[in-house]
Amino acid sequence: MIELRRASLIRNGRILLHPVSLCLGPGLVTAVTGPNGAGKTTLLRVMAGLWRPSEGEVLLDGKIPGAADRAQIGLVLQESMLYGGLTVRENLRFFGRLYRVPDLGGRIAALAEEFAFERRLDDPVARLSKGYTQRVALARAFLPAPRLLLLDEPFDGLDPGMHELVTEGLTRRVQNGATAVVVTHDLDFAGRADVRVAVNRGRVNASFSALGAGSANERRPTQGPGHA
Amino acid sequence: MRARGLTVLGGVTFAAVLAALYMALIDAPPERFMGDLQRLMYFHVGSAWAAMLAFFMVFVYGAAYLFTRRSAFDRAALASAEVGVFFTTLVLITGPIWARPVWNAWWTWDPRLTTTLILWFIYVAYLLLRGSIADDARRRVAASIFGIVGFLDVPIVHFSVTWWRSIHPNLISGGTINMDPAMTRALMVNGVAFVLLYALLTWLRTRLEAAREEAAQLRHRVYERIADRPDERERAGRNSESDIS
Amino acid sequence: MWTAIWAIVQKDVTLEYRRRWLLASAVLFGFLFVVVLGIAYNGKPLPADAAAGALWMVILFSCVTILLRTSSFEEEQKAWYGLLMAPVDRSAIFYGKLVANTLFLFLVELAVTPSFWVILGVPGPASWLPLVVGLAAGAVGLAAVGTFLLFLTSASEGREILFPVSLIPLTIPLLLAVIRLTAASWTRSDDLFVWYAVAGGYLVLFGLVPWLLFELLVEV
Repeated sequence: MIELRRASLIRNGRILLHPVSLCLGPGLVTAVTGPNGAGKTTLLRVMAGLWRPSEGEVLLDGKIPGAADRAQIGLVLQESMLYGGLTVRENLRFFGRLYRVPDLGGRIAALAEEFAFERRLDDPVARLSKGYTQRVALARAFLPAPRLLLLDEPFDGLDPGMHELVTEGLTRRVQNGATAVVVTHDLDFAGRADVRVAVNRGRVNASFSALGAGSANERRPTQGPGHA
Repeated sequence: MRARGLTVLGGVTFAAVLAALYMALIDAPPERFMGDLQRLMYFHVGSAWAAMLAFFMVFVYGAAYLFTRRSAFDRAALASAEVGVFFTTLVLITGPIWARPVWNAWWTWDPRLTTTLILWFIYVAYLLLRGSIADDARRRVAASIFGIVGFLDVPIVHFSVTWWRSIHPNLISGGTINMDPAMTRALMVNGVAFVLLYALLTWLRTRLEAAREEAAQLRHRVYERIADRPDERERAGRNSESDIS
Repeated sequence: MWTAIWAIVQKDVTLEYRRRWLLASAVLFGFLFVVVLGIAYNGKPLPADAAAGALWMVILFSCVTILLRTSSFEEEQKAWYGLLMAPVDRSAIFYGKLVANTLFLFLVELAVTPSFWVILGVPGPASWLPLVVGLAAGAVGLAAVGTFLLFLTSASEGREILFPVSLIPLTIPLLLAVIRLTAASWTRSDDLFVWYAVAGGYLVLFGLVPWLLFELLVEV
């Protein structure tokens, strides 16, 4: 699904991301862990195509993604990516039209039910609590039924019940063939993930719970299970 | 190799500037009405030519950077813009010094003078913009695009200002000077000297910028080495462990 | 492409409507400027040239504040990245923002311009055509260059000041044309073709250049 080929990011002469090769196939949950400022979010943004890698490339389904392929990516950042002045429904309608989501009304209703915010649909986003905002942010990312989910701290601000709900939603989508990359501090979630990626000061080390230990630093490109 | 090129260019420029000074100040005859004051024109026009070339090169380097993404082009664009602003400032200073006794006004809305002033504003904004973007990748892209758009704007600025002044009654006329052949020669030599000076200054400034960037890079590498030490030891330990297993 | 543009316009209009005090303040600012100008002229009627210049000063100020505001919508919660991830040609984002910004500028112009002949004693326009064309071309042109520069300066630390500092020199030809058109509408000047041409040429250039360069500008 997504493949990084010796992708690196250098800014102002600083190496923010050392060359990393990684291939993640469908049906896999990848947990990205590491200390603050290690480059987890950087890795996610490079994967999303928001930052062009200084060297190497990021491939989606084996090719460099064009405009139309961007709808395959569901992105959640630490910021909500929503307009505070619009209501939840207006936000979702706006992004749904932008992402050309068919049957938008039904889709919004279904997501609102799944993440339990039907009753807040007509409230301005600025007035939502952190937990609600986070769920709407997830719903926004899931609108076009993306096949690659890039989630930065998706459990942030969620109570245990909601945490469960979001994990379930994520698992269901992965079982249906999506690829999920989740940046998280939640070690419990990371323990259950198929692939664990540890990032430390811009260096990426991956290990696969399915295949035993392996390493994906700059010298040894990894053969991910999706690749095999 | 590159240093030798620089020496050659430096020598040629030095000779050209000496020749230009001689021709402008001694060889060319004084103008009939304006006297020696008119000699200022050689430098005024020379720096105007060099400035136009500089801004055109900012455009060229900017486009080259966007196509190739090689930072060397961006450094050259920065150097060109700085040297260009310097020459434009010279034009804007020598212009009024000459205009004051001749036209009896420090500033006139002469089309060329006005265009030069607006150019100066555009490229000062270019340099300020560069200075204010911390991220180098974004700075290079933004600056290249600004350099392209700014240069595309130049002809429109020039035509609109020219039309503006020609619609209004032009109080100042008789800007033409009867050029003695020695004067034409002096003007040409000065033009060449200023263009050479532009090339030399840009080259030096580009080298300076490259050195500055390299120094910053080395500094980061040193910091990273220092920060890496305990980590490297730890990884070495882990590797030997996995070798055993 | 058209759906995306229309969606962005609708979104910006809704957001602006929810915070309509902003547009109201921009208009009020214009009125205050006019009052101060009237005081400075000691009650005498303003010459057409000065009035045209003052009118465009007010519009320029409003343009800077309004455009900086509409771009802050995108940055508050990084909704901007949501736009970038949309599966459309990214210049659609530019044209959507451009249409919305033009609308807001035009509203401010409509409110402020009449105050010039009501308060400042400038005679009502002798010919409407140059006035209307000037205001329209000015709104579109300022919004086009302004929107483009907003994205260009988005990484800059001193954006609030660098935005106007780069906007004004780049729009000099346009300002020259629309100020002449505005002044001519009061004094009934004859040969205006040149200024229509300058304004038109400027709009064509700065309407198309972003289409070519916008993708490069946002992809970092």
